[in-house]
Amino acid sequence: MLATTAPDSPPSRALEVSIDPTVLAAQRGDDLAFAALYDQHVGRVFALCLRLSADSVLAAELVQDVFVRVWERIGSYRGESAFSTWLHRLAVNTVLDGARQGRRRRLRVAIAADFADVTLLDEPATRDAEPGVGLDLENAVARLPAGARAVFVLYDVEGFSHAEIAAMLGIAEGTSKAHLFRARRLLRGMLDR
Amino acid sequence: MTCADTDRHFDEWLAGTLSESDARALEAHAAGCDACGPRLDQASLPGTLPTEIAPPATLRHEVLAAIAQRRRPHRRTRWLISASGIAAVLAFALLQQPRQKHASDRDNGAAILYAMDRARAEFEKLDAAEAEVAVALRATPEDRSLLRSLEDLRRQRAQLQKLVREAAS
Repeated sequence: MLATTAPDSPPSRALEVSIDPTVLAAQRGDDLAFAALYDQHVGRVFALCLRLSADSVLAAELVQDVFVRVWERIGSYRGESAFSTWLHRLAVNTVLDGARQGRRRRLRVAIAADFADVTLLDEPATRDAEPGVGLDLENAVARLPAGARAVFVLYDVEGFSHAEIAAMLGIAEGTSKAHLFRARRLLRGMLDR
Repeated sequence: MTCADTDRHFDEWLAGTLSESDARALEAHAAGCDACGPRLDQASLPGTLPTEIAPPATLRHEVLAAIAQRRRPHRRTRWLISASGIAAVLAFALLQQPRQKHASDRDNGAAILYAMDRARAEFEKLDAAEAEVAVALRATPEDRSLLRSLEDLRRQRAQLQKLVREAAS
């Protein structure tokens, strides 16, 4: 890690901001450094996109959107948080961006429709699994309704708080909590079959 | 449902043996309860999810190609940069040429004046190009291809200023 604060800075102004040298190189336009950042983070970004979309083709498109946006905005990263935190927040915002067209937009609509349909809280709406075929957790998550899946992934996997999720998805905190419980109940139901 | 009900039914809820209606009532209570919420929240699900999943192998190339495409400067800006670059070289050649040929002082003076006129025209082109890039940057402040274009233009301006200073001395 490279300290960007001058060693002789006054203590009151010496913010201990450090930025990884690879990130600094990418900020200067180094293609190889950016490719290294891609290699370092793509696994987690792809997992996020795949779990939120439950569609591998759409997930690949979303990953591309995420890294293009990272490339466009990497200059604004100042090291206030870990680069991975900054990148994953950007990834979540990109995936949930309602302005996208085509299938990307349909994902946003599916999540919003799931939240809007209050009856779903009482009616498990998972996609049917083949009778007698056990599901692992990954497959069970993919079968959750879009809204419940989004809350589950953001809370349980990505570690965001209900307040953060509520802000990202434009819902109340209570709705986020309710959908988390709903997701867990549905998952237990699928996994116990 | 109350917090006491949560205590009483928690194990059944976790085991999935609580009736559907009671489970929903317990979850509805927990969703709004600071004590019971985290308790149900932390109840583990069978299995774990990996933090990373390997993407398709072709995706890396596609992503980096998409970024390379966006890196190209806008066509108009690229033309201006190219024109300025060529003209800067021409100006340099014009400034050097009289001295290389050992021409008369009068010829040298005329050539330098001509080169100065050309340099002035180049400064105007650079002004226009910088203004165009500045406008584009206001719309997309973090567009790195535009930032690079601006750096190129400033470098060319500095180069031209150096040539003019040398010619004047």
